[in-house]
Amino acid sequence: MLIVLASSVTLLILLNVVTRSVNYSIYWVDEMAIYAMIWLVMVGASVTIQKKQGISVTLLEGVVGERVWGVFLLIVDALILLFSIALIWLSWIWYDPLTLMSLGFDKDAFSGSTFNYIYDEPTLTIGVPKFLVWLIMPFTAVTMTIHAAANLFSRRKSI
Amino acid sequence: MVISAFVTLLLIGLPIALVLAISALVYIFASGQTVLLQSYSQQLFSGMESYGLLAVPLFMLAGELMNEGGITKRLVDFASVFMGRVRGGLAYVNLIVNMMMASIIGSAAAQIAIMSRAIVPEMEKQGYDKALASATTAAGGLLSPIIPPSMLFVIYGVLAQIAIGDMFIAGIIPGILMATGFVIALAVIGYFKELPVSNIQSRAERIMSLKLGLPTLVIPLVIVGGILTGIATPTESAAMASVAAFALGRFLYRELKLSRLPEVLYRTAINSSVVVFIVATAKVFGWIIVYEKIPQNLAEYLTTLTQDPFVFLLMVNIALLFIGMILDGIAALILVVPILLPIAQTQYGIDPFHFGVVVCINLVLGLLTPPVGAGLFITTAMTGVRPGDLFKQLIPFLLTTLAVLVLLSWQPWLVTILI
Repeated sequence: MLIVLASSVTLLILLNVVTRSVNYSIYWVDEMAIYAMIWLVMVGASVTIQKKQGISVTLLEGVVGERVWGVFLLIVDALILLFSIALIWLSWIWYDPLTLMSLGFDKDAFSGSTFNYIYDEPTLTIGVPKFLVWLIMPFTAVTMTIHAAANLFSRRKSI
Repeated sequence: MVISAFVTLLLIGLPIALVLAISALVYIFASGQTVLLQSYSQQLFSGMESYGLLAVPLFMLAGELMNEGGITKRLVDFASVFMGRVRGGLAYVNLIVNMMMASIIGSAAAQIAIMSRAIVPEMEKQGYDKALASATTAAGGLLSPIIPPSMLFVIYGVLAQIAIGDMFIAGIIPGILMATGFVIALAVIGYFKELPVSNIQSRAERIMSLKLGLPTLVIPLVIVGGILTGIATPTESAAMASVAAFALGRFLYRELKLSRLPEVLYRTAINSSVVVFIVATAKVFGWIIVYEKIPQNLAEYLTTLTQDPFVFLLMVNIALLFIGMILDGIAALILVVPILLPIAQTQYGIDPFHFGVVVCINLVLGLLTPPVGAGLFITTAMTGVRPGDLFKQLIPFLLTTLAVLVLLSWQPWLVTILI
């Protein structure tokens, strides 16, 4: 999935250069490329969590010794798990699917009663509602939670 | 409250992106402004909705493709033709190739990794001290974020909301100044220490190196030319550079295998998401610190200390040197710019391009200083030199960079004259 997204970002930008040089700009390419990049970053973010490749400060590693540092890393894994669960919840209150369902999927009634305009926001040029593009957020939240839980579990076992 | 949470999380080794994201959440709960929660995910998403950020994955891809396609080796041969007979020739070649690479690759860490593998063994074979060879390579890597294109400049441009193309142009003179400084430093080292002379290439060999090396110059021309003439945006020129690197590696040198392409794309995706995700979480954090009034308070405090822009920049430089020592350059940039740039602009009337170049040069120095200099570790890992020995040999180069930094802080026109 990452590979597909990375190639599509490149190809979309190239398409833009080519079409502009023959004076036939396709106006939706830029927005499309940006969304492709964001999807790439969010999927990549959860892979980074899984592989523990994020940039972090390891200044104290040598100072506090191996045992304490191990405890720190355990706390870190727990915090990541907590955060990803929080992100699921944050997406939940943002999309608010239960309220939407109780109103019979009527988006006007939804924004009218909650002042949450998520389902009304359009994308600028590609012609789909923006909440579809935003769906990457809950998707990442879920995959991140799974990876974080797996990390925490394997770390706890190793100590 | 937010500050102490932030520092604690940072020190226990939580990835920086999550430090920012969680600190923001802590603030929301601590201040009871739970109404912000509903738009939290949306803020995270919109932090990435920027056309300039697209340049990050594209430049990373160009660098990866160059490396796979055997382009680096051709550049070394190419530069050797000109410096072959000079005492310490290969060391100068190292700097020249680094300068050319800097106009292709946007990241110092990537460049140091590539160059350590490509040139240090060769220098050792010719009789150079290994630590000196590694130090020259690592110092050359510092040029990468200053000579366009530059990942740091892209991110600075996005944060400061200024034209990335102009930011690139602003880096040209400072980059040349640094390269010149390094050459002088090397000449001084060579004066005190015997540096080996390279083997003289035969005429046929030299013609061969020239013929094979010349096409690689297409890539920097595409990037810098495209941006300078305005034919392509920085983002687009990064995409075109990837194509050029692909074409050279695939069709001319025939070293790039199609079967390696998925892995190249995968590495690009992971590396760029590490960076861009920090940008996204930093935007959320920035959205929060506006409520906390941190920049305003700091500004009030600083203006009581000095009114002079040059003194202010020197203070910023000293503070950043310390920040750069413990934080990764890009992460530090993302943290510092939203706080300091408004102060620099409104209180001291400093040009945003000038400020950006000074801050970026300063933060790349952190790559080569202990305790957490990524460049230092990459070089030692690639060449097997002891970190202490490497650092000792690096000192002349680091002092040169500091001198350039003070000069640039003092004379803003060196940065802004080309724009």
